[in-house]
Amino acid sequence: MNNTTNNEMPLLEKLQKIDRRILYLILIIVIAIPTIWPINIPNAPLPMSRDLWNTINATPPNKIVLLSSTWTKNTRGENQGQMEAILNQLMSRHIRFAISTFDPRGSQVALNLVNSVAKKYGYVYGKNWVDFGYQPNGVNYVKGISVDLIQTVKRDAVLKKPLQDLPVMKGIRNADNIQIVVEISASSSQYYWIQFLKPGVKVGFACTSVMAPEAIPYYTSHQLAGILWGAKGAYDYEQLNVEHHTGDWGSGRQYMGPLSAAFGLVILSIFVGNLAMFLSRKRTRQ
Amino acid sequence: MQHACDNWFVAFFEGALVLLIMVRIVKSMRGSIPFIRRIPGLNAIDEAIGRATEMGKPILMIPGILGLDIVSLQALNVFTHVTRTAARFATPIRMCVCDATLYTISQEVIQDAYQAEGKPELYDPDSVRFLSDQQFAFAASVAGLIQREQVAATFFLGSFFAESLIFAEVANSVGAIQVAGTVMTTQTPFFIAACDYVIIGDEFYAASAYLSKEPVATGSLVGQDYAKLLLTFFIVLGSIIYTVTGYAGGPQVPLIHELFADGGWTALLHSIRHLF
Amino acid sequence: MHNWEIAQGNSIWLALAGVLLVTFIVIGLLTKLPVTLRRPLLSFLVFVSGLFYALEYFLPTHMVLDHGVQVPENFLTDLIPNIINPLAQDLSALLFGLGLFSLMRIHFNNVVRQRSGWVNSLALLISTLSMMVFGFWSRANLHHPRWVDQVYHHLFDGVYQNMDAAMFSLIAFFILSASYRAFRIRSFEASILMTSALIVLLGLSFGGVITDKVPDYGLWSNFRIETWSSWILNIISSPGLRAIDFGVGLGGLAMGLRIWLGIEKGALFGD
Repeated sequence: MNNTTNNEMPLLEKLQKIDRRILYLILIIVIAIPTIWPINIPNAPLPMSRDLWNTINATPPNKIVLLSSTWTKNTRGENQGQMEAILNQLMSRHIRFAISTFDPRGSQVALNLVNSVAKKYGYVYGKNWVDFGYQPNGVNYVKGISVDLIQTVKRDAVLKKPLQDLPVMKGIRNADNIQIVVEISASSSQYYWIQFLKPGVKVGFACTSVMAPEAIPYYTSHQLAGILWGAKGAYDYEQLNVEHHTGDWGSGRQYMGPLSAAFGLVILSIFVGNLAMFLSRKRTRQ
Repeated sequence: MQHACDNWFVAFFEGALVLLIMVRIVKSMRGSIPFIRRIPGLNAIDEAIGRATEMGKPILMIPGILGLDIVSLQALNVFTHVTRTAARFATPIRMCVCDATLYTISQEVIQDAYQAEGKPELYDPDSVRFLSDQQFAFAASVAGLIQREQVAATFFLGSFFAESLIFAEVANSVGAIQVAGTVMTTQTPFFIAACDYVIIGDEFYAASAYLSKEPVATGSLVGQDYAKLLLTFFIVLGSIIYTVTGYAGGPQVPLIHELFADGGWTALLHSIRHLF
Repeated sequence: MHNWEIAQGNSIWLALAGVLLVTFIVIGLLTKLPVTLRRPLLSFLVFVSGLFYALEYFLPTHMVLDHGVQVPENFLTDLIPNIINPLAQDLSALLFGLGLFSLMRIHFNNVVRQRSGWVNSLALLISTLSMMVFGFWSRANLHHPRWVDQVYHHLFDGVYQNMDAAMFSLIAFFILSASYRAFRIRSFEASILMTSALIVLLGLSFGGVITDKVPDYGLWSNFRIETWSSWILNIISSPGLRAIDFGVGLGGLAMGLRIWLGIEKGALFGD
């Protein structure tokens, strides 16, 4: 073996076994740079995001959209951007909507977000939107609103008034008056809607990236009208909003830069590890 | 609650599946014990425990983070086998549980395992611990335990969510040999990336049959395979019906139906030209 | 439909006393039961419990007015939300207390005996007790000073929620180290895995940069990375996931059947 080869072997071995602390430090730097100096990644919305956007966009004046917001601060990186983009579309198109949740912690999180977006569009609680609150028994709730929404929910969660007294609920009786239910969640709570909601009522799913592959079979079989895939889904939705003047850029585009950089690092690290492995094997055979 | 009268096809189909499984169980109980192929993850149990014994470090078992259900019961079945092997070699064990109901049952199961192996004096009640019922509090607690005790082997069997990679990576950082198995398809890739041996999908339910070679369990396994054949038949039948007739009424136009309609072939050529 | 009501006033104490008496009698009888009868009793109880759900599923239903809504029910359906679910919740609450007691005992012993890492045990004890005290004080209907709500808010929203999010964020680092370490192309199958993973990853991130100039309409859209990514997810990955789900569902059905009929051998069911 010549001297050059002797020096290369330890380097190749080192490249295959980089200390994980060095990798973590590189990741922090790689994520920090596009966070501080934002970069815009070109994007083409996925068909599943477009389908969801189109379904919500087609909401007629006599129907409402129900947002089932079951996410908490854990997953705000993905779910908050998704919900914000959907709220922008709803409010700019003057679509009535309601929110509810299957997670007691999700209730306040959703309420805070809706209130902050509502200020931009002058949306008034009770007149343009309503909060059905935390629903502990998901199955009964979904089955109940399929038949009679007013009797199932009875009172709103903020003003504690009978639903039928709120102007936003005018003409809304049951699931037939719901254009689409969008489950925004980091768990598998979309199954409540898929299994128990009245057939014919559309269901959408805005989820974290990990949950999306599990939901795709339901999208391809048309049990889900659309899926928002993590932060990319939020970015897709914001892009569709901007193209159709129903909203602005938000955290979806903002996070896409750091996310893409992190993915790039993952790809690079896999490439480096494999390259070192191939070269090391080649040297060993020689 | 859903009821049979909501969809009789589903009810009858379930009955057919149950019948298939029961018939095979009865056949096995009468002596016709089928062959089960090798499952590497389960073969590795002895290797993992042996390694832990040599190093004098404990083994860690986690039966998932959901409560008492079919999946966690199956995990306990496998852990009984693991515990009995560990008891044979006097290897210390740690079992961390995320649900209080499962905690009490796990204590009983582990104690019974030591007694069955004739080593009741080795059982330590503190080896089975309820840590927290909150997902990431549990994950943090397990990660800390792995690092403090420098476990030599870990067994992650059951239902896991996002915390699966935390367990697996922390255990990898201390050099533990890892066997994982879950029915959650979203977590299987994380285990495959981080663990040494992974039991995927319904191999998890085959574990008790594989380890015990017990007639009822092995017969049930074969019954499941017949049930899968029945499912496959209906899938193929449904695909043919949908392709030919477009019965389900989805947005796609059934190709064969369109081709045999008037001007069907002309329309097809026109659409190909239109693509360019 | 039955009208299940909680006992009111003094009768609630009578009801509690009656429940405790029945509990002690049942527990006493169970401890006196010969060992050989314990497993048959367990199998019998499991069978009856499973039979309840099987009958509830198969028995015909009729429409019933439930809280102003027409729902299909048979005579067993009403028992689920009114008897079974509250019973399960009470049992969970009781067992949670048992689990908490065990946890406190272990860590209290660690502190008292000054075992290695006893400081961590002390931290656990202090945080658990403070959360319990301020949680109950703030959320129960008790008169309390305003600072109690502030402390609770800081502990829950300020500390716990953010630590929860921080733990979740660790996964990002672990994904990097796991993928770097594990994804080595050592076989043909591994190379297929890597190629498809690369396409899907690019399709969900900066793949748009690479194929930005490719038109997204007509036949040309088939040359965009997002299209390949969608194709892999919808046509290749999704059927695989469905197949695994089918297998898992059947496995669960078979195991449930074995446990229900008492023919399962294993952890709790004897060899």
